[in-house]
Amino acid sequence: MSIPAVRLDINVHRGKPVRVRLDNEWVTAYEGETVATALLATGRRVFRHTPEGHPRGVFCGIGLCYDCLVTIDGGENMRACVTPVRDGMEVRTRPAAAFPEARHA
Amino acid sequence: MRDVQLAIVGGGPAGIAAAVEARRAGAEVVLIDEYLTLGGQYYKQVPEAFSIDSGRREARQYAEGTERLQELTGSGVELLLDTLVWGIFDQRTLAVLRNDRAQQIRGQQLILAPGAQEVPVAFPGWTLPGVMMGGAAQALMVSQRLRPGQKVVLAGVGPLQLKVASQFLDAGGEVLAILEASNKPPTSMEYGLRSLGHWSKMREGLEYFLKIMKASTPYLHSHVPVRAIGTEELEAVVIAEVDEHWRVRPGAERTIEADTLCLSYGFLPSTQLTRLAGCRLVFPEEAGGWVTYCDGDQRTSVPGVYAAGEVGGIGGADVAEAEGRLAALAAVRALGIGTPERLQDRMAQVRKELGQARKFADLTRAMMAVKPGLFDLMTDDTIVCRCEASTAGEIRAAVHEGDPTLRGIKIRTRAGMGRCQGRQCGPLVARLIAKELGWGLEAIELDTPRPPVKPVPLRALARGEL
Repeated sequence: MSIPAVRLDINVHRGKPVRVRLDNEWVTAYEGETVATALLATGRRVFRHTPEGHPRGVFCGIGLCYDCLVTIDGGENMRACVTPVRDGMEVRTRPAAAFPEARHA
Repeated sequence: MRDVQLAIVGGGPAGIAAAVEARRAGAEVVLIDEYLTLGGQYYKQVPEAFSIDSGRREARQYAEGTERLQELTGSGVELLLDTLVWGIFDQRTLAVLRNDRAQQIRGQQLILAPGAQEVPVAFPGWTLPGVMMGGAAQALMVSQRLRPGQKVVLAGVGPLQLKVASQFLDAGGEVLAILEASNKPPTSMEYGLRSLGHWSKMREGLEYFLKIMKASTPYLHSHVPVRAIGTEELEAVVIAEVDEHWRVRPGAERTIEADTLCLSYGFLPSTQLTRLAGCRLVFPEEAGGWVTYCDGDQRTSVPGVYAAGEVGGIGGADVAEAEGRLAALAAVRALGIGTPERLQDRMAQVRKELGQARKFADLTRAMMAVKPGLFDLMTDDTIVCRCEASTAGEIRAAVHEGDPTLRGIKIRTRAGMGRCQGRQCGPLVARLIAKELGWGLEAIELDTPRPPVKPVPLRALARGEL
């Protein structure tokens, strides 16, 4: 169950629309938006799972906490909240199964 | 290597004010910021590709930011955006990451204005998507024009929450409760009286408060979140009442179904760069934490290096701007530019403004003081280091094994070894050490910062000029 975030329409004109691929689904985002915004606007709040299997998404929102990490155009562990979208960008969130190894204490 | 007269790190209120002042006095100024747009957090603007309808009035703070930036762009200051300062080496040499390459910029004088971060507060479930800092919600609403959630609980201390609540309401969200940890909220008689004289701030606060009243938003004093519940995302927040030390009172907990929880427990100076530059920190009692030492001219303990704004102590935007101007004037004087008498007169004028601004800063600081009971919310199972998943229980045990310093705990539990480089867990680990050993926070030194202060791709170093 994902609660969609909502784009606000009062007093703002966004940049031109761009197509972004989020986990195999093409969606429309707008120039100037961050990858985090593009993901949140489609209801995706779980951006990754840690090696321990814990879901993570946006926390600090300003590029300090390194929790909102996704794979962008093949580059892993990119901060979604400070990376602007580009037409044709491919974003992959990281599923729980990606880490077979356990963390050692 | 690029040599400049004055390099300013940080394009928030302090950096912008410093840049404009120094340029006006005749210096060659380069202003560096890691983001794509200037303004820092306080004057955050929409992205370049967006535009604002000039027909409608923007919030005052936003409009002020737009004004400041217009002044800056017309001033002749060189702007280096999307440029991360990741290291500071000898002779005021900045190591930066720009266009995917490492480069160096050396300033004859350096002003560091890197700002602040929000105070992390941990409790079971705080890592669930949907739990975020108040600043994250604001960044999304103000800059990205996205409301991050629908059913929102706010938790924190002080007047900033009223603003966040107001922003959510304006954006069509439902604010289910505002949890104010203190038993003396900003709306109390005491603070109301102390606010007299700061008319524009009072008016602003009243505006938010009226909006919240109109929406019948429950504003709960002496309440904190004790648990965030959900499997993959936040689904509910468990709240409880606290005593005057912010310790949870045994008894009734209440559960509120919500998809978003925003934490606003104040700010901490981001001292990574000032420490890296070799600047001494001090722990003033009224600050309640480590700040970069500055003298009356905003000089740090390192010759040629000044600090302005939150990095020297949390004081808000007006203080930051005045300090930025003061640092700029002192730097210009040190560069031998301009007429000493004119500089002195201008400095005296700015000092007066700074004195005034500090009065209001003292008031907000009182309203935002955090009590130690808040950090007892961490159960042994609570993740403290978000990056490395070190728990409070592991850290508490490590404290008693010896070397109870941030570094000692880091080595034993990995807390602080992750990508955020201790920004989120460091303050929490310090609280845990303090509680376990009965020490004041001032007895716990910060860990040694090392470059890069944020992760830098190896290819940028390989392709760079270092």
